[in-house]
Amino acid sequence: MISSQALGERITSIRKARGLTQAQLASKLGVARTTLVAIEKGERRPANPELVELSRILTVSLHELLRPQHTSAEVAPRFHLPAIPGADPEDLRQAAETLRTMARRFVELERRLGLVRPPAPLETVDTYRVHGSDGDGALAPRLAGENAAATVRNALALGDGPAVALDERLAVEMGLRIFYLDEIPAAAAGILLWGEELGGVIGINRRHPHERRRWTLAHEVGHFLRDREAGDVLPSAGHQRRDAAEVFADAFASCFLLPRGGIAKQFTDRCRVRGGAFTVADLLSMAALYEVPFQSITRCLEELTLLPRRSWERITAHKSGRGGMHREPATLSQAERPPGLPSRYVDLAIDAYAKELISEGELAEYLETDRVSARAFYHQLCRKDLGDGIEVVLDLTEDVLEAA
Amino acid sequence: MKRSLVTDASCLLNLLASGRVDEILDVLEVELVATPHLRGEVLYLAGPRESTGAVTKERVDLSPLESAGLLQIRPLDEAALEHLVRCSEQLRDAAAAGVALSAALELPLATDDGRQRNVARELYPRLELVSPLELVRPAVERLGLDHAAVHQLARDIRLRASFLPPKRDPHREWFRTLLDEPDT
Repeated sequence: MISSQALGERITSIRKARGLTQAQLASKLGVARTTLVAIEKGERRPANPELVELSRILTVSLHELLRPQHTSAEVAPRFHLPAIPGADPEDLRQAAETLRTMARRFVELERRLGLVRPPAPLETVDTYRVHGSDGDGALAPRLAGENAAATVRNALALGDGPAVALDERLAVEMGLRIFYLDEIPAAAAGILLWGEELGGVIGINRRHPHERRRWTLAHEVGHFLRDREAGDVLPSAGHQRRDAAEVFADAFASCFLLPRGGIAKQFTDRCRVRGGAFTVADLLSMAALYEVPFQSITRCLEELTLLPRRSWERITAHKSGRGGMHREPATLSQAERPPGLPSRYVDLAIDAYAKELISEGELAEYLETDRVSARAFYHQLCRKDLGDGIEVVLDLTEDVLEAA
Repeated sequence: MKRSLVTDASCLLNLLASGRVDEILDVLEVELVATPHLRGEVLYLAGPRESTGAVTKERVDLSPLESAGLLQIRPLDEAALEHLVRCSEQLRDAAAAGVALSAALELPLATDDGRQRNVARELYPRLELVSPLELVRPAVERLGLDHAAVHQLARDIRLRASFLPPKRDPHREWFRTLLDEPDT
């Protein structure tokens, strides 16, 4: 049986999570405030009817109140939910609560199985931690973020290649608990929580595209490395604030997912094959290889001065707005990549078709499909959703280097 | 008197997807001609999605068009073989056959395929090339379809044939404008 003191602490914790004062809960329970204080201190055990009523008022099961094994799932006190433009604060609060609940269940499962989770290798890395108000120490936040990315890449033995199997690796090497949630409102991309018992918990908006989710994950890992107690809520539109924490997390995500050495080599190799050209199709291919948003790879190449400045703006100049073809049924937007065919083979077939070097019938033959499906796949590649109802139609054959 | 056009699969799929291929051909007084290769190329149109979300395919049946005298399948004769061999150096058989038949019969070729058009232009500079929208647009105007019907026709071509006009098509903006209009 749970002790009166533990029960009292649990009631206090849940009351606070529900945003109730002692006076409010006491009123709802029909007892004096002093009585509730005594209950919460463990000096008085609630009667059975009172327990049932507390369960109802606090919207928690009796089992949750009374079971011996319990994970407090407290989140670090410094975490707070910021106001996110376009997000209902209550939706955000519930999303954070859902994340906390799922993380608690995770911990409870471990305990039920008698598993003691030792600190993961990268969990205890202190190099990039900000302690109190001492800032980032000697390194500027951007450099620190880039350095942290290199450190983590080395630790995960990723070399210069794409970061694969991220979830599993981060779970093992950083002890992170990563969930993909529908409950996160559209205006938010991800949430980072941390607690003594929970460890690092990351919730990612499951409705976002795969590449966007990866970016969010990497961004939150950056926050975890730097200041996990503060946590983070990443708006879908990106942070407007440019404080040290955000600069660090952005730099970490960018360099972790797009290792500069590997990116430069990929770019050079592709240019060499094309006799000095680098097309939009190459950009899409690199984005797919590194599993990052199309814009991210373009900006990275601009930053490395491998692409002219404002290449992104030029490539995406042809946009269609809301209510247009992007409102088509998903029939067309989900034409799948032909299974069993090498990526480069498919890329070459698409490239040749775009340049009218092969016919539509040949494209269908190369892709082992019928003409209409081949068309659907081709058009899907050419159309990129920039978010917020804006689509861009790409010319896959456009030489980005020539267009400047 | 009806005008004959040789059609490639790329054009015929779009006309079939419109759901009004017989009306379009009737009002234009056009009869389509094709080689037997067409049967192996015009196979499916996109159908409705299943409850699982999977895309369905609808098998194409050309027999109604043939029965109505709107589509004639003609094997290549000996005279056309020389053209076929010439075209086959650069095109697959089906695409080559279309150009060959068109050259042999001295009929325009209705096709949207960029590769096929380029080779046809190179080998037969005087051959008239017709795009699908060059048939659809005037047909729609002659049929006097109302705005909603034209919009639906465009959507059907877009969705069922996964068609988007290439940049070179002079009717591209017309078609895209139809699609960008909200549903009525």
